[in-house]
Amino acid sequence: MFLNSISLRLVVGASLWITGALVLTGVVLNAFHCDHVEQEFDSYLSDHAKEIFTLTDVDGNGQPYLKRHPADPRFNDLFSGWYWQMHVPGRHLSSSRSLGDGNFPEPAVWPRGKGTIYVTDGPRNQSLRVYARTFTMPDSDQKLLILVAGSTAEIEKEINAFSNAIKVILTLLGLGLIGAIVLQVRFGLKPLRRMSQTLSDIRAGHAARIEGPMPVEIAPLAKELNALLDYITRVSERARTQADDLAHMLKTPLTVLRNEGERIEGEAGEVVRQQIALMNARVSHHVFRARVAGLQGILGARTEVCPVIEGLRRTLLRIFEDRHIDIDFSVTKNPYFQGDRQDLEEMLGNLMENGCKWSRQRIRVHGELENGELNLIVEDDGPGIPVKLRSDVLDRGRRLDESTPGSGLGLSIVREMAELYGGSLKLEESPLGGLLARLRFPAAEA
Amino acid sequence: MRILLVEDDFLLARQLVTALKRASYSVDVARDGEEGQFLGETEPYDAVILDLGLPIVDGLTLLARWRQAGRTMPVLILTVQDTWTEKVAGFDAGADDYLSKPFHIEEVLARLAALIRRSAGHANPLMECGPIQLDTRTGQVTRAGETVKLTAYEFKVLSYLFHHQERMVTRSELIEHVYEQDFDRDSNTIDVFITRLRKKLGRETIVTHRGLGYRLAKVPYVS
Repeated sequence: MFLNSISLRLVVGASLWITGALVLTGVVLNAFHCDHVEQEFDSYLSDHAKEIFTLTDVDGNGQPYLKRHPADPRFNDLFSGWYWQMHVPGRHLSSSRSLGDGNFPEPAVWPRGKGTIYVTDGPRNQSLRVYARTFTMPDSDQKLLILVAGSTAEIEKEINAFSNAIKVILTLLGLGLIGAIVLQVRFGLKPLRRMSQTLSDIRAGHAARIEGPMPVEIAPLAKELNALLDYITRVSERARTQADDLAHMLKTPLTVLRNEGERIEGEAGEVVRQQIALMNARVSHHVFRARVAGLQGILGARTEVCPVIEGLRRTLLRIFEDRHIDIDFSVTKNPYFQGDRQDLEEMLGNLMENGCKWSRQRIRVHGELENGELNLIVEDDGPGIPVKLRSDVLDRGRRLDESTPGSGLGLSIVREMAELYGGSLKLEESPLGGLLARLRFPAAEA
Repeated sequence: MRILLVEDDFLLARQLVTALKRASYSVDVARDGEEGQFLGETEPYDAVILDLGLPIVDGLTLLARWRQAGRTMPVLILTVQDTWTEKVAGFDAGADDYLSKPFHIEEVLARLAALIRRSAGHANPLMECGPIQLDTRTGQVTRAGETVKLTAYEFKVLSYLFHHQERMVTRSELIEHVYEQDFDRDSNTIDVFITRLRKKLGRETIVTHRGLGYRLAKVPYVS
C-alpha cells in the first residue's frame, strides 16, 4: 500500500536512512565520550595515588607511614564514594576517613608498572572503580600498594547526562531533517500533482490539453499525453466522419431504390420493399454504432444545455407549427452535459419530439445541475403511458403506438445513449397529466 | 406552382422531377450548390426542395445565403442522417420542413403542398372559392361537388390563382410561376388557359383586370 506512493517511498526511505545515520552517530559519540570520561576519571584517581605516595615517608624501622591525609575533603566525608587504602605486603596500613571502619577488596595480585584499574564493591553496596599501583619507597626496597577508589555512579551520572543531551539533540535534528524532506518531496512532486489535476480536468471537460511549462523530467510525458489526446480525438472524429460518409453514400441510392420499388407490383415488389427497409435499418444501426464507437474516445467534451434546448425548441416549434404547442423551458445553475453536443441533442430532441407528438398543448423542459449530477426533465400534458407499459417502451424495437409515424425507437435509443454515458432514463407521471421523462447523468469522477 | 429542385444525384432527381411533374408542378433542377444558389436568387419559386449534401456549395450554406439575400420561399430540406443536430442546423439556416432519406416521393409531395399552402397563408389544405374547391393534398378540383378534369397547365394557373385568391395576380407573375425556366414562353397561351378554365368552371369564376391581370372571384355558392 505505502509503496504505491512516490512521496511515501521518498519520505520513508529518507527517514530510515536518517534515523540509521543519527543512531550510529549517537552510539559512536557516546562511546567516545565514555572512553574520555573514564580516562579522565582514571587519571584523576592516579593523580591522587601519586599525591598519597608523596605524603608517605619511612620511619626509623624502615616502616612507611602517612605524614598527613590528602587535602581533598571528599576523602574525609563518610561514605562519600571517594576512598583510598594503603597496604604493605601482608598488612593493611592505612585508609581514608570516608571508609569509616570498612574497606574494599584489594587486587589478588599486586600490579606492576603503571598500575591497574578494576571495578569492585565497596561499603554500602557502592560500585567502585579502583586504581591500584605498587610503589617502591625510595632509599629502601619497601613495597607499598596504594588504592584510590571513586564511585562509578559519578561516571554514570556524567555519561547519562551527556547521552541524554545527545539523544535530545539528535532526535530534534532527525525530526528537522525528516520535516525538510517532506517539504522537499512535496515541492519536488508538485508538477506531477499538477499534471494529474490537469488530466482530471481534461476528463471533466474543464481543459483540453496539458498546458504550461513542465519540468524537463516530465515534459516528455506531458508531450506524449497531449499527442495521445490529439490522436484519440482524431481517431474518434474519423470514425464519425466515416459513419457520416457511409450514410451519405448509401441513403441516396436507398431512396432511389425505394421509390423504384414502389412501382414493382406483386410479390417481387413486396420483397424489394422489405429488403430496402431492412438495408435502411441496418445502415442506420451501423451508423449509430460507429458514432458511439467514436464517442467513447472523446475526452472532456462539455456541452452547455441551454443552447441545445433553445435550438431544439425553435426547431420543434417550426415542425409542430400547426398545433400551437407551448414549450416551456427552465434551468437552474446553467447546467452542462459532460459529453458530445450531438448526443445531447439526439437524446433531448427525441424526448421533446415525443412530448410534442403526444401533448395536448404544452410540454415543459427543465434542466438542473446538483452536486455535479445533471437532471433533465421533459414532460407533457398528453395521455401519458400506463405504469405497466413503461418498461416495454424503453426496450429496443418496441413501440406502443404504431400509428404515430417515426416514433418507434425514439425512447429506447435515448435510453441506450444515456446508459453509454453512465446515465439513466426513467419514465414517470407528470403533474401536467402526461408522461415525465427523466434523464439523469451522475457527476463525473474527479 | 414552380419548384426548384437542388439535387446532385441524377436518379433521385429524375424520380422527383417525374413525380413533381405528374403533380402538375413546373420544376427547375440544379445539380450543384452554385447553380442552385443562382437560380434561387434570380427566379421566383413557390418552393424549393434542397438536398443538404451538395457539391461546390453545401445545402446549409446555400440556404443561409438565400435567406440573407432576402429570399423567403418555403424550403424543404432532404437530410441524410436523421439527427437532431442536422434538423436544428437546417431550421436555423431557414428551412421550413425536412425529410430524411430514404423517403417516399408521396411524402415529399404532401410536405411540399402543405408548405406552399402555408406560405400563401392558408391553414386548410382544402381551399375554397365560391362553389369551387381545390384539395392541395390530392390536386383534385371540384365544382359544386363534382370533379372537374383539368390539363396540367390549366391546373397550374388555377392553383396559383387559388393560393393568391386574396389579391390580383399579374400576367407576368403567372407566366413566371407556371412555366419552367427554359420554356419558350408565349404570353398569349396564358389567355388561352384562362379562357378554358372559365369554360370548365363558369365565366364568372375568373375576373380580368384589363391590362393588369386576373383574380378569382368570390362567387356566391348556388347549388
